[in-house]
Amino acid sequence: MDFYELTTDVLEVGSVARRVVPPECGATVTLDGYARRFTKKDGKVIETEYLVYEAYEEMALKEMWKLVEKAKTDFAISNVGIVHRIGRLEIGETSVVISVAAAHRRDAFAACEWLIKELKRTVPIWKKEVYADGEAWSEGEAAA
Amino acid sequence: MSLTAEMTTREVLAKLIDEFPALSRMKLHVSLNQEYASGKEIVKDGDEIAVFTAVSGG
Repeated sequence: MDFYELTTDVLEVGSVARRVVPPECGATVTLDGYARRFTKKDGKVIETEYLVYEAYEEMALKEMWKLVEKAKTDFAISNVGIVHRIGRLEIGETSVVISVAAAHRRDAFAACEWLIKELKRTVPIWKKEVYADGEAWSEGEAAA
Repeated sequence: MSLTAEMTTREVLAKLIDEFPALSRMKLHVSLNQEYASGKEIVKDGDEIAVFTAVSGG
């Protein structure tokens, strides 16, 4: 089955990955995105203490659903699952899991890469990085 | 902020920036009823408009 969810609970990568697997598939590619401690910014290395994610939840779920539908149209894949965590995340905790099941791995890898790239560009979720001496809302990788 | 009839989503954003000039320094997106707006949509009574900065999920 396909699914797209927001949660404030701890994300378990394996349990997300197992939910997408149908019998005709031979490979599941799963992205485990997690909170990074060190980030390079303007030539300096900044240490993050924790992250806070916020979402425009109703629209985020709509945009996630569009990504699932488009990925299933454009790639030879069977099932997609996307779960994004919101709220406070400690370093190393999983923020997003994208699992793609396909008959063959090549399609699953391509779809998973496309899905995370588009999620970062279009889904209304925002990340705040909190440092020892301040905080900053992330500017994201690309504007929609 | 009050809106007049027949305003487009682009005009709503322009009015918002007029009232809050600091917003002009940000790259902003507008959504109408939880869909990205192109700027041309006519805003109707009861519609839900959101204005937000570049997203950064993942």
